This record gives sequence, structure tokens and C-alpha cells, in this order.
Amino acid sequence: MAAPLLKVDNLTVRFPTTEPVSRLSFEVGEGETLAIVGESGSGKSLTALALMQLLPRSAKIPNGRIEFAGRDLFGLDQKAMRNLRGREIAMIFQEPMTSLNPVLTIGRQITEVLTLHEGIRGKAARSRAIELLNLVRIPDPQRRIDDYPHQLSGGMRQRVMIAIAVACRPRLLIADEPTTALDVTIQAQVLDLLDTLRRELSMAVVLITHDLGVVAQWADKVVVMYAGRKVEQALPGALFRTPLHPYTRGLLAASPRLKTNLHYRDARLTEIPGSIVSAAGEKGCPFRPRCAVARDSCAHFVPDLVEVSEDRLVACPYSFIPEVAHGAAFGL
Amino acid sequence: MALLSVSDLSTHFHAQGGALRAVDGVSLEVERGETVGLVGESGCGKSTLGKTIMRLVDPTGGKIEFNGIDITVLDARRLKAARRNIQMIFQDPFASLNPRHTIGDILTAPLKVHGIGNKAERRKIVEDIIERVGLPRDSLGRYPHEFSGGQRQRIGIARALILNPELVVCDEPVSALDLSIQAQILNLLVDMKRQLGLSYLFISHDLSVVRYFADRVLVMYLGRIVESADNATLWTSPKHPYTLALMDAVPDPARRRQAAPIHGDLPSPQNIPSGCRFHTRCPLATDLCRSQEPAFRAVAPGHHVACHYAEPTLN
Amino acid sequence: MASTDFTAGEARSRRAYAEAREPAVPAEPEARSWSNLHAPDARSASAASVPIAAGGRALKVFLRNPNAMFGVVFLSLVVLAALLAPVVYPADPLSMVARPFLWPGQNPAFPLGTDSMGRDVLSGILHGARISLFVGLVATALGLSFGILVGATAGYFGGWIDDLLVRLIEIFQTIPSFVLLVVMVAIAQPTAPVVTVAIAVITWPTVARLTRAEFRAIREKDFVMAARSLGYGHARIIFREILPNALPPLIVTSSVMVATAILMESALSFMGLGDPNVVSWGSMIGAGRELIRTAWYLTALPGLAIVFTVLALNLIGDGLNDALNPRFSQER
Repeated sequence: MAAPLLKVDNLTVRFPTTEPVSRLSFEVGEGETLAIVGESGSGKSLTALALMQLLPRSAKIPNGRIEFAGRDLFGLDQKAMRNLRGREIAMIFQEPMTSLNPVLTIGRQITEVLTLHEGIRGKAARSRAIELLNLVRIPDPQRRIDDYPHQLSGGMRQRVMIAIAVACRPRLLIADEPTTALDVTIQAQVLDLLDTLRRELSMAVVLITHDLGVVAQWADKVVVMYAGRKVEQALPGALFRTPLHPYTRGLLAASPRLKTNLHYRDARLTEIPGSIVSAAGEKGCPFRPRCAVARDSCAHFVPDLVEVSEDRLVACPYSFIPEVAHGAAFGL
Repeated sequence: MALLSVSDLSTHFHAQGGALRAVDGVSLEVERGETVGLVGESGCGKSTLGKTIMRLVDPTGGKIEFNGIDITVLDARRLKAARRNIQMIFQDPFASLNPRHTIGDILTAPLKVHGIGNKAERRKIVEDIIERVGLPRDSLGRYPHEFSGGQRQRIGIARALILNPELVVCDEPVSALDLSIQAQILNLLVDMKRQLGLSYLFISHDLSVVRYFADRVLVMYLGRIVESADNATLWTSPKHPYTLALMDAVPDPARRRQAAPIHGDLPSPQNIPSGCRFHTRCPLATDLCRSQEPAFRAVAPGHHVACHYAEPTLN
Repeated sequence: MASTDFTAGEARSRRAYAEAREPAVPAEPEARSWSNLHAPDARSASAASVPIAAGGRALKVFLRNPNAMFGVVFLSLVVLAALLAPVVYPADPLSMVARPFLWPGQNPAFPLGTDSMGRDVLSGILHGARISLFVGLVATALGLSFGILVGATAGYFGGWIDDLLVRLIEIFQTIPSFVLLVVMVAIAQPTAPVVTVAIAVITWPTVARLTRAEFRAIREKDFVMAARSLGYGHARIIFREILPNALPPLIVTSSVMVATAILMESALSFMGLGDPNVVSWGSMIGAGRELIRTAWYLTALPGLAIVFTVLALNLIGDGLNDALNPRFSQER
């Protein structure tokens, strides 16, 4: 098997009083889409920042290793890392309005990256920028290139962000909630675009999201995070057919779906009680305070991730119940 | 008689570059005990419609009849009395509670303003409602920032219910919440509806949530209702191409890596397309659609669509 | 039952399955046990969040700021001096008590010496603190009240009321303020109350502008919408809902306003436009300025009093800004 493009091993991110990411490991292969799912407070966004080495100053990384294309990212100096960022690893954010500079035209912001990383200037840079806008399917790019961010819609701005991110043909694109601020029809367009670019540019994508539907439709592999830990890893089909971890199962059961006939007049939604803050200070399994199947032993130790089948990891000893397809309800 | 009856309501704003027609001729009804879902993308005017019905924004034209009384023409005193019966739950649980007031103050103030009860009675009403929404009594002495998003939304619901309204306008009440919290809040809304006999106008961009929560669904596009049907009918036989596109855009495990259902952005409500509003994005648009605005007509009893090419449902 | 989220056919088989499985997983709860009564996250979350009220947090930040604490200590000394002046020096500070030009330290009875007319300098500075503080505090209180009233009305109601009030503010702001002050004091009697009112007249427009901006922003917040939909009256919304949230920048401004008012009073007195019957720091400097070569202490001592008092107020203002600014204290 070929070496993975990105290999995160035992990564921990620590703040003075909290540990938002604990002993996280995952791999992303060339051209693959890995989805990291979790709710706010799960540590998924900090993981993305750790990959880019853009964590806030107060954050410490006491242990762990991030290997990108065979290089240890923590071994790189500032300059080498800056060189890597934007050129080989690029990132797009949730809020396209605040991640674009409002006083510069979008053309200027795209050419800036080209000049910085590839030394392309002037007319050549401008025509590359137009190509890029074309690539991300912005209509009428010759005219749009001189627009300011506020003249574009949310979806268009996210396309511009993507154009900037892929300007140097990165090998890895980290997309942190790229469609959360967008409407469903625009979300579908942007995800479609991301996947097309992934194929065309053969780049790998780390897709960070809270939306299980997005994961199911677009990911090759899914990591479910809860309170800083990986609780389950699976291929999307298997995850939706047979969710193993109680948290994953709870999430799938709690989300109303378009395809099911669930209606308030005859059924309550299954709730996951409590909220993620209850994981703070928990010595045992972080999900224990909200877990429906928790036992006494769960309070004493953090369950290990166990490989239950190929490509399938789960961090709960009580999840191995032979299963009928849960996922049948979700159209699989 | 419907509890809420809105007819030909318009809300236009003055903006640079011409009037912004956020709500442009909307008619709808909410029956007693009914939950009406209003879906659409941001910018379609659904929030403005909700705020206009709440009389937080002044309508440009049309009528809003609540219990048969047109509340667009009421004077300040009678409007205040009418407000007791229509309340609102807001999207952002962080912005909708005044950070400077305790939960007790937030819940007691409406009672004081409307002169309900004496001090002891008010205290009792407030304690009752806070427990109903699932928070302990000692929450009353705390400030909003001491609560999580889901808890704040419970407080927002308590505030909306404290005056014992008949209709509650829910403006994206679960959109800002984590998935694991959404179910809790939706269940709470269902319980409150059962216990207090409420009617809801439930505004949301999330079709899955509306699918679960609504008895009847209205689909809004650029300031107009383009399709209206009861819940089951809409999901099984949607007629308007926009409704179809919305449904196809919802991510679904069964459609691995499928292309986006429609292209283009929502046009600006300052520059509404001629003819059918949806023709710029519609895959089926013809010259007729570009020139002539379709009527909002019945294709089956209780199922209305504004599309030239919607076929009537055969029985 | 947990199996409510399935299509009818599947639901039946699911239910049968779930029942068959029930003994294996005894802890699997029914959906109803997560009813809304006593949301399970209610207590744990409030315990996990920061239990300090917003005001308490700001106070803590403020108390930890050494500069602000210096300001508070010095200002307290000035206040103490003002309060004790009539006790320590019951006699009129304008009466001649010793031979002129006693240098500081020359005569222990007059630690800061005497001026050209044999008046006690220390007595003058202590009594001067009274007039400076009176003018500073009262002028600020007046300017603040009127400014808030006008700004709140303009910002809250908007429309033609706003247009009208903004014109009024602009009229005051286009006239050079110190010239206006001099003219007002010259026309009326130069008594302390007149000076105070005149200073308030030239300072309110700043407050009004600031208040208007805050009100325009807060007016659109959801909690104000909620207040309106609950049928609250305008006065209640303005004073109970919006004003407390608009206060932080106003508190900061007011500390600087006190300092400005003290300086203006001093400037007026220096020019001989102050109240001739009371001693103030400005009038002391004014009287000593011709003797600056021979007896520089006559200008230097009251000058230092002004410098340190104004500095103290500015330090307090900075400290309040840091403490009340949401960027420094995340919760507000």
C-alpha cells in the first residue's frame, strides 16, 4: 500500500486549562476525501488549525506527529512551513465574507498568492486568475475579477476562496465547514465543485463538517470526533448502515431526514440528552454523561480505539452488538 | 375562521438602487392548532415575512388578520394587547437574550409590562414556565452567558410562551444549534404545542426539520410563495421545479457524489426577474416563463403551485 | 420506543428486532425518558461555564491593571484633599496669611510656600481641588445626561427625528468649542455654575454621537426585537434594554470627559475668565505666570496637580476600556 499523503499520529493540543484535541490519529491518502464530523466543541476545527500550524499562541502540542508527504511538519522551521502553506496545503474557512479582505479586489487577492508562491506577476498573473475563476465556475470572470468581495454573493465568495486555495495546485485542501454559512442549493454547488476539483487536480481533501448528510454524500472515509477524541472511524456506507459508537448512533437517530416518514404528530425525535460541555473534566469516556449504554466501568478509563473490521475503528467496548442495518433508514 | 390570515402582504425596503421587495404579495393562513412550515433560502424574504407578521417591520401593503382583526391598522395601545397573542422565537440564542438581565428579569418583565398578577403570582408563573422548558428554578438568578446555546434557546422559548400566546412564530429556532441539541429543542416545541395548544409558523431553511415538524408547508422564493401543500403531499409529489431542486440539494447518502441540482445564485430582491421569478435558475424554463408570471393555482385540493407547467394531480 | 424514525415497513421489523434485543442492552432507554423536564444538561453546563457575572469579570480585569490602580489611588487622594480642605484650612485660601514668596520648605507652617500676595499655596491647591472636581464631575454629568438623551432618541427612533437631532449635533460640533466656551462665559457671569454648564454645553455632542451609534447597532439585535414583540414601551426598551448594553464605551468616554472639563476650567481661569471669588488650579497658574522666572514653583505646583489628576483620569479611562471591551473580556 502506498504511503499516505498525510499522517496524523497521536496528536494532542493542549491549552492551559483544557485539552481540546486528545491523542488523535488519522491518515489521508492521495486524492482522497476524509471527513471529520463533530459538533462544536469536538475539536475538529482546532485539528485543522494544527495541520496548518496556525494554532493560537497559548496552545501547546505536548505529543504527536504530523507527517505530510513524508516530512515531519513539527520538524520544519517557520520559513519552510510558510512555504508549504498555500502551496502544498491550502485551507478554506466557513465564513467567506471575513476570510476575504474587503478592501482588495478578488483579482488582487488571487494574484497575490500566485506572486508569493510562484513568482507570477502582472498580465500573466491576471490571466491565471481569470483561468482560476473559470475553474471554480464563476460566470463572466473577465468582469468579476475586478469586483470587491461585498459585490459577490456568499456562494460566489466561497468560490473565490476556493480559487485562492487551489491557485498553486495544492496536494491537500483543508475545508473547515465550507458550506455551513450557505444555503442548501449553494451548498450542493460548492461541494460538487470541491469534488470536481479534487478529481481534476488530484488533491486530497480534509472536509470538516457537522453535517452527516454532507459526509455521507461526499466523503471516502469518516472520522467522528467527540470532545477532542476520535470515537469512530469508518467508510461512509458502513457508518450509516451500522453506526457503532453510541454517539454516532445517537446523532443518526436524532436527525430528522427528508427520506423518512417521521412526523411530530406520531413520534418524538430520539434525543441525545445533555450537551458536550459535560465532557469537561470527565476522567472516563467523554461521552459517558450523555450515553444511553454507559456502565460503571466507563467512568474509570477512556476506552481505546479498537479495529473491529477493516477500515473500521470504534472507541466503545459496548458497541459490538451484532447489528441489523441501522442505516437502512437512511436510504442505504 | 383561520387564526392568522395574511393576504397580499408586501414589505419593501428603501435601498440604494431601488426598492428591495423582500416580501412581495404573500397570502397564507395558519389554522388553530396547526404548524405551518415556511421554507426557503436566505434572502427569499421568509424572515422579513415573520417579522412583518410580528409587526416588527411595517408592511408596505396587504392585511394581517389575527382572529379576524387586521393588526396592520391598530393603534399602539391595541397593538400592545394584540401582541400578547403572537410571540416569536429567534434563531440566535446568543443575541436574543439581553446579556445585562438575569433570566428572572427577562421572564418577569413581560408580565409586568402587561400588568399580569402581583409579585407573588408573577413569581409563580415564571417558576412554572422555567420548569416546563426543562431548566431548574435556580436558573432564574443567573445571567444568559452562564448557559449553553441549547439552554438559552429553552429560555427564549420560555419568554415567548410566558404571555400564553396562541401563535408562535419560530424563526429558524434550531439552525444555530448543534445536531445533538436540535432534537431536544424540537421535542420541547412539540411538547409545548401539545400542552398549551399552540399554533406555529415555523420558518426554516432546513427541509428535513420542516419535514418532521410541519402540518402544511409553504415554499418561498424571492418574496413569493411558489408552492403550498400539506406535509405528506409536498414531499411525495412536489410540483414546483424549485421545490424539487431544494429537495435534491439536501445531502443524501443515497446520492454519492451527485452533481448539484440547480445552478446560479438567488437573484437580488432589488432586481426581480420578469415573468416567473425562478426562470433564471429553472432547468425547464421556456419563453412563456420569461415573459409571463405564472398564477398561483390549485393542482389538487389544498395543493397550490405557481408554475406554468405544473400538471394537476390525477386522482 | 427508539425505533420511531423508520418507514412503516421497516419500522415493524425494527421494532421486533429492538424488542428481541432489549435484554442484551438493558440500558437502552426509551425516548420518553429524555423528556424535556429537567434538561439533563441544565446543571452540569452552568457549573462548567464561567460562573462570574459579566460585571464581576470586568471588575477583576480592572483591578489587575496597575496603571488603572495608580489612577484610582491618585484620584482618591485628590478627592480626599478636596473633602479635607475646609477642615485642614478653614480660612479662605484667598486671604493673605504670611509674607509673600516663601519658597516650599522655607517655613514649616506653609509647606508649599506662599505666593506674591502671601497666600498659602498648599491651601490653594487643596481648595482648588474642590473647584476642579466640582466642575469636572458636574459638567460631565450634565453633558453625559443630555448627550445620552439626545443620542438615544436619535439612534432609537431614527427617521426624521434622527435627521433633526443629527443636524443639531453637527451645528454644535462645527463651532470651535473653546471659542464657544469663552463666549458663553464672557456673556454670562463667570461663576463656577456658569462655567460648569458652559463646559457641558460644548461636550454633550460627543456623547450624543457615541450614544447614537451604539443605539443604532443595538436596536437591531434580537433581544430588542424580542422586547418589541413582547409589547414593551419605548422608554423601557431605551433605558432598560438598550442603555445598559451601550454603557461601556460611554463610561470610558466619561472619565476622559472629566479630565477635559478640568483642563477647560483651568484654561478659563488661566485666562482670567474663571470665578474670581474662588481659587482654582488654573487661576493659580494664571497668577503665577508673570513670576515664572523668579518663583517657578507658583506655576509648577498647581500645574503638577492638573497633570497628575488628568493623567489619573486617563489611566482610569484606559483601564475601563480594557476591562469593558469585549475583545479583552470575552463575555459581556
